Amino acid sequence: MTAPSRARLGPARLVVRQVAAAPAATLAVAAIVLVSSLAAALAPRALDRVFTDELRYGVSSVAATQRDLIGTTIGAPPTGFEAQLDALRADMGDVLRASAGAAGFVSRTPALGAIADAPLPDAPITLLSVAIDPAVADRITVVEGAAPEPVTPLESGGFEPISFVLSTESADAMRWSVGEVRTVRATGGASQQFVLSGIVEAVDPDSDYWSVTTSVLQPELFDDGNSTPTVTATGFVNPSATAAAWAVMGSLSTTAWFSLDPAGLSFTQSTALLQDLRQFTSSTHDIAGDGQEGELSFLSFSTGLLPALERAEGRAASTVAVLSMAIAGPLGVVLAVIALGSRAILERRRSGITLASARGASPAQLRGALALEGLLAGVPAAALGMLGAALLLPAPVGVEATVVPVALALAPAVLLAARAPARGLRIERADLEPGRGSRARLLGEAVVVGLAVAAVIVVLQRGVASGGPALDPLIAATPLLLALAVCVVVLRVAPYPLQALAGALRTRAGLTGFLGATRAVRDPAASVAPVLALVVGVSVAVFSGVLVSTIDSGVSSAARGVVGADLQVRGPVFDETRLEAIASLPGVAAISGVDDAGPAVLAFGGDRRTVTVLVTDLAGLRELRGESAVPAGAENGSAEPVPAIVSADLALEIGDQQPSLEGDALEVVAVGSPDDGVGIPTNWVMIDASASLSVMGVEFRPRTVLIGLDPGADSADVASAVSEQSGPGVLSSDPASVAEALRASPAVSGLGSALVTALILAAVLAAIAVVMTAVVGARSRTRMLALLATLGLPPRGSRALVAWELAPVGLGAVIAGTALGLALPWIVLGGVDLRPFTGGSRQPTIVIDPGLVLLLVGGFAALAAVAVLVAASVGRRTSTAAALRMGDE
Amino acid sequence: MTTEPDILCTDLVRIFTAKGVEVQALQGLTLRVDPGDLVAVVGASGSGKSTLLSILSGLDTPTAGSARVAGTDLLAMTGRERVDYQRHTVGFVWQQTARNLLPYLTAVENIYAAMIVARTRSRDARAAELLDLLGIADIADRRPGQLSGGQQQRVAIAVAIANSPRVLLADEPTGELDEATSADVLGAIEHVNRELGVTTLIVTHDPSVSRHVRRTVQIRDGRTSTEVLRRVSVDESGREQHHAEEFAVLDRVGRLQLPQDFMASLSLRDRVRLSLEDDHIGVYPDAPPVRPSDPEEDER
Ligand SMILES: Nc1ncnc2c1ncn2[C@@H]1O[C@H](COP(=O)(O)OP(=O)(O)O)[C@@H](O)[C@H]1O
Ligand SMILES: [Mg+2]
Repeated sequence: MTAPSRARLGPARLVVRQVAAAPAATLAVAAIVLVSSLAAALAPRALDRVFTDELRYGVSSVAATQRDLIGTTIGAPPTGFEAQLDALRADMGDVLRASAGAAGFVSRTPALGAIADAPLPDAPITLLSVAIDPAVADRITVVEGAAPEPVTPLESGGFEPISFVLSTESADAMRWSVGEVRTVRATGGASQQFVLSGIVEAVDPDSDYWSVTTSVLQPELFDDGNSTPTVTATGFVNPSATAAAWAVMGSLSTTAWFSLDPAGLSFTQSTALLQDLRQFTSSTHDIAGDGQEGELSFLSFSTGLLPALERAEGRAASTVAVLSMAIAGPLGVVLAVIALGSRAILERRRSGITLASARGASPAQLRGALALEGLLAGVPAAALGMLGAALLLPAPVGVEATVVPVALALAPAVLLAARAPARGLRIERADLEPGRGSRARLLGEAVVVGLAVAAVIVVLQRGVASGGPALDPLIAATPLLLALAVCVVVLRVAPYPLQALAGALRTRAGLTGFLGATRAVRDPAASVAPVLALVVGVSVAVFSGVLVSTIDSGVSSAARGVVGADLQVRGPVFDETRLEAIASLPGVAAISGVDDAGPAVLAFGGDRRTVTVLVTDLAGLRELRGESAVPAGAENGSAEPVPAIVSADLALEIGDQQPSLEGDALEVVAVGSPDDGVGIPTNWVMIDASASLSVMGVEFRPRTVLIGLDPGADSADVASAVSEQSGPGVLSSDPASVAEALRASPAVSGLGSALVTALILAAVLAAIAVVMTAVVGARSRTRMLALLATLGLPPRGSRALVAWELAPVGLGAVIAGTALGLALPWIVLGGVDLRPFTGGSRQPTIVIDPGLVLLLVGGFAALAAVAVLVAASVGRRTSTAAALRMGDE
Repeated sequence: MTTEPDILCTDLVRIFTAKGVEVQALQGLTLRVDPGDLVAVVGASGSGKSTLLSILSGLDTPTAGSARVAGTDLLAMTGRERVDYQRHTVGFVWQQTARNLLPYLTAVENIYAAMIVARTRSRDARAAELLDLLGIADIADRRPGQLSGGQQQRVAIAVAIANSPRVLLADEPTGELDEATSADVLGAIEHVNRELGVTTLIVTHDPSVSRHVRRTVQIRDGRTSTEVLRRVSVDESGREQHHAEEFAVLDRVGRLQLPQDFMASLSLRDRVRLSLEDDHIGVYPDAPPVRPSDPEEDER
């Protein structure tokens, strides 16, 4: 009697046998855990990938020469400067130090005139600046003559002729031959002789070094055709000649740098890099000197990488904020579905539990057995999900990324153990005692609704949290809380119309209709889970739809704001003739030249503010933007006070005070929106070209032209016609291409696919929840159906009954979910900065695309209907006889 | 009282309440079963037999009265005591196999499962013993679905006594069986009762069961009404004589139920007159039998 199979039957094996006997519910829970933990484990990996792509996209948009950390200070480097720079590098944050190269520095003097003893008649004016670099020998090679010698002081003050080297191009342009001596007149009036000792070539002409140390390889030429051309070039003197150069040329500035190579940087590191960079660039670094005159005593650095990283960071933060809102709902549904699944498991184990409990199984034993089954369902599935995610998307993720999958792994066990009955199971007749537990239910509902209301109030009061933490738990939880609250309302309200319906159907024929409606009121099968799943699913779908259309239109309007018209061309100065030529091009309806006249001081009341002055052809702008944007008379630049359009933020500050620009009184004739500033969102003043000379003291020299096109005209055609006319170097942009570039950002397109994924997930969950509900309710329904079958109810009545169980509440849930989805953007988008996605300067207005919303809701309703049909066929398995006997228990 | 009875119910009351409707399933039931005894409780459907058994098996709690089983007070049991009670004091067999056996385990595995739940040691030996005792060794590795009704109930009996309980309870154990199989299963219960000395209470609506037991208690409307004691004697010619004697049950405070046919034949209703004689009590009708216009009769 001790067959090995029997002897090994222990408590754990007993549970396994039980699961193996009826594995459907357990497998279903395992499948849900598998899919949801896979999704939960994939999400951070996918996001990391998207953000890393976004980061590289951002970095690649910064010119290589602008990526380095660079600082320029007036003063000469003290001795030991190199070591001090090394110390600065050692003091950098770890991540920054890892991508920062060794320090380099170069000092240069201003350019001063170098006059030959016997100048040639057609010789250009030559300006010479000298550079001192201790590492110069690594950067250049002497191709003619010799390297510069150390300087020799003269007793009478000054120095023997200072030797220096020039590049071939510079020497040629200056017509300075090796050995020739020229005199440089310094600011103090003293003069010093310089002798060209050699001609050099760059070791690596493509090095970033030459973009810092300008006018060495290529001299700067200025020739306006009227006066004598000017050649400015920089030569290297001996590295020991720092003090001499400073003394002779009167001034010295030193540029120090660390090259930065963030290629291969992943998003997880970029936050740290950004932090390190902010810290390094925001502080001034003290440099210890030798007590010599003219030494530099501090350095501060900057890099073009910082804004790019910040933009990527902002996009990542907003993506996380939006996605956490879209994901929290489905996550809640996953838990609800797992809870539903554990109810289904419990149903399957009912007889076993009852028997075991009657035979003296302690609550702890029952809980242990159920927990074990929960672990069997959850742990392998979640492990598989996490493994799958790691294989699909290998990415370095932190432990926090495993929190959700681990929670999902344990959820079935926890939920099953929590549901384990203290004393076996008994069939309760809910229909006789609808009031049972109603106090606890009411309390729970009050808590849910209270939390939802509180969350909404807090979120609405807080407003846009730009640059806040990436994941705001409150904002993430708000949609879920609201969905739960809506769910409570649906479950509370649905019985009333149903009761009325049951009353109406009682008098008619049709047993199923009456029974269905009555049962839906008295013994509702639809619990929180399917209603929540539907409410969340529909609201996520609608919310995503609204978000997509909002961002899309935000991108378009931001692009229009950046471009300022149908087409914008930039490049050389567009003089009168060129402007007229553009205006007469086919397809061009109106044009307005814009000259960014740079900063100027705007005074109002006691305030003074530096603003950007945009000088434009306001009459042309009126044609582009209409009378309301540019009122009549605005172009009358000779009027006193001068008519001006100011940006909205400035208008707010000025109020009714009298503003004056550079001393000229202004009259604010219109207030511009951020989009009117041609890419400059705030702090601008626009005046007409006719006032340019009198107010700004400069001629109107527009380098930008805004072009309005005729309907049907192609912006690309017009753009190429302009560049044909005005020569190469004309850049053009139109709203469509700018918008396209914005949408090409990995973060923006990644957000779209993430929302679609959330939507699909929510839809699948809703379908599962509906089917599961039907499965859980199968027992009580088959019993009733069996009873009815003995009374002659046709079998197809069963399908109708299932439909009655789910359809009314389902319909309510779809309607309520739609309403919630439409309301959500107004509630939660206030707390999320969407500008990183649109590239605009202000939060985009919420746009609802009715077609898209209808499509999404319709799709969802269809899916739910299919799920109900599937559920109906699932619930018809038990035979009449078995069901009736089951009822005896 | 020489020994404490294994089952002692006194004035047991169980009232079910559902939405204001009260059902008095047990209305002051009194029952005493001595250790090792084999007793049948018979009564019509709905008379409260199952209610009694679920109280005795620790699944339900009485509303009032007292119930002691093998020294355990069923009204004052803590959760832990209940677990211990169900593990070691009582075992039961219900009418439906589904409530006795797990369908996915073989017969012997069901026996193991009961012992695992109760944390009983040396399971192998005990299982072998039980298979032997109930004569089911040959079907030990079959599942309930592969067994006949009688075999299923034999296995169920083995499972019920797996943890060596003091008391074996059986609720309509033959309810779904034909006559011959019923006799076979009842024989098995008798056999177990005799071999192990386990106190046994069988509940049934089938009066024929009483043939297998020494003592039959009749319950009516949630109260024990009469008892039949059976005795076997051998007469002078050596033949077995079966004696069955019916008694009315008298409770502590003196209540008793008169048999229905007694009441009918004398038209006893509402009130009777009693008279104490030397060795018995006389029960007389209240008044002459035919009085059609009696207002008291209209009260009903
Ligand atoms: N859980 C219950 N809820 C309400 N009434 C019950 C319950 N269990 C039994 N009853 C009622 O108690 C009475 C006795 O039932 P029961 O003990 O099952 O009788 P029996 O087993 O003798 O047929 C019946 O009227 C029955 O309807
Ligand atoms: Mg019964």
